[in-house]
Amino acid sequence: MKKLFYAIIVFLFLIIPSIVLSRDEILIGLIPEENIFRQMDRHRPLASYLSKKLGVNVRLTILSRYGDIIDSFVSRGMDGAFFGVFTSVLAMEKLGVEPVVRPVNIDGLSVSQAYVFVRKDSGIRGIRDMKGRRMAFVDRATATGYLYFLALLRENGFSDLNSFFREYYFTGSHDTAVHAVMDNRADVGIAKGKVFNRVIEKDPLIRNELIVLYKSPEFPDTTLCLKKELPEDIKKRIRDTLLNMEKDREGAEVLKKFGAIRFITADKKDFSELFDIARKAGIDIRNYRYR
Amino acid sequence: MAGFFVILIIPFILSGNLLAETIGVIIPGNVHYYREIHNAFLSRLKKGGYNERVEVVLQKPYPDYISLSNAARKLNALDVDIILSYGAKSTLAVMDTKTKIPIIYSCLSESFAHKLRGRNITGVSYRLISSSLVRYMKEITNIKRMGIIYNSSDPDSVMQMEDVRRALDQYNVGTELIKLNSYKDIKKALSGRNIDAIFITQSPVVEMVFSQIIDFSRSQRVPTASLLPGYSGHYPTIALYVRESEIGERIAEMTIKILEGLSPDRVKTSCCNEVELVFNLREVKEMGYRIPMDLVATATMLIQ
Repeated sequence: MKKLFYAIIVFLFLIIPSIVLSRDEILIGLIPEENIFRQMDRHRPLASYLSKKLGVNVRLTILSRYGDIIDSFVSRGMDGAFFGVFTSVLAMEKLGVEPVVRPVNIDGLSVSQAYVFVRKDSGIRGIRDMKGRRMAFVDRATATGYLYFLALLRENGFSDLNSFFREYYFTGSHDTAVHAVMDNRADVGIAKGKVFNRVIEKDPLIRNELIVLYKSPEFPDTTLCLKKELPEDIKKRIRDTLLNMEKDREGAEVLKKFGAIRFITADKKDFSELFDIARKAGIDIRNYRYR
Repeated sequence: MAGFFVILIIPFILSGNLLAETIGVIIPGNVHYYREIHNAFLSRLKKGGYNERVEVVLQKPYPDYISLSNAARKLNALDVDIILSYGAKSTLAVMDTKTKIPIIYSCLSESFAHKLRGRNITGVSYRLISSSLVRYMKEITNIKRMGIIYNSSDPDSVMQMEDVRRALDQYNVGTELIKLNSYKDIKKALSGRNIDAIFITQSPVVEMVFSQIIDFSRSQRVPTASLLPGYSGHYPTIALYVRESEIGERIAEMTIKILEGLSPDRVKTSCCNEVELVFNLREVKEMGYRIPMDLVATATMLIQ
């Protein structure tokens, strides 16, 4: 009898998460903020950890482009996504998603900045020298890879990219924008500071070749946002699991692979700086055509 | 009566001018990269309707100084309207004739182009970052000693070699200079080398034996980095180069401006923008190496 009792307890323990979540899987989207293979390598252990803790398969899907994220969130039936700062705001405004948590990076920061950089031998020392040059942006749907530069340009009295630059293009990821400037495939680049620093850490000699001319204000870093319609108990369990990860050994290991020390709570008011930048850039977020 | 005669003769003078414009072109070694650029140049002229109006006198001398000088002197004697020179050595050979004919150079580095002075000279240069190629090569294999193939009589090739050597020094990678001043010396130049990667500078003599260099690298499983794109199944492992069409179109636009009467010193020199970064994945795989995926993502073109 006692054995049967324990068996029932173990059985319930195993199936309760599935009953509570009553879902087959949770689909989380990733924006291609860096090379997608490396990004998958970083996120996969986190997805496995969440799957184990929640008792439901957490599947990751990576988007080929930043600009697809809002449409794909709906069309692919995503439950949440790790958005960048601008896509978080776009998704909050257009889809009503809720910010849940964001990681605190190894350096102790949970914010990101845009860096505008050039080659040291380019002769470019400020915005005015950039006129008539080639620019490498990341994507129209990024603050640290596009929007900040637009605001900077307008603050300096220029408003039209087409007449300002001889040529500009979108690289699709932050590290590709850094490489484009390094190889002289672009004269000016903009990318997330964190990714820029990671490229330099890997090869310190790059520090002799590139120079950062402008840094944006700090924005909240990549934020996990979940869709409004997801049951509250599921949202709570995801939030609690991530916020307590560093407390168990396995979680701490996964965090390390993810490149973070812990997750902290995210809130809509964290994004106020971005609304200010968008205003300076002359962008109406609700009606912004980012594709 | 005299006035009537002038009116009659003017159309003949004008039509004569329109048809008699001659462009002298020097393509040293008749190498593939220059030929591709030249084809883009001719296409652009045709597009602008200038093919009917100009005659192109093409010289394909061997890329040594005497042959290049002879070609330059020949174009001078023909009194062509514009001389178009491909590469540093042919440009210097033309300049040495002290000609007053407008010269348009192409296919030389920006730092070398800065040294060219003259009221009758303008042209298109490029700025390729050799250190990037070294960096990418280091991602493919842990290089300890890199051979740099260059032509010591080609000042631009020497400048490229020095750039690469500086980059290799910074990474504590050994350098082996492989001097190639004649295409006939290629076998001797490559034999007995203790190198684990090759850097191919841009020079007509080097390009003349490009396929042999690639064959050697395949047989020795030594990856190659090049400022030339390669051709016909002979492609380097990594290539960083300016797109041929861009150079061709730019020199054609400069030619048109001069044909329209603008003085060469008023035709602004320019530096090309459209840089291709190509990884030869097939070659890498066959040699038993691997290009990290994040590097693959930075390429503008992949050979698979």
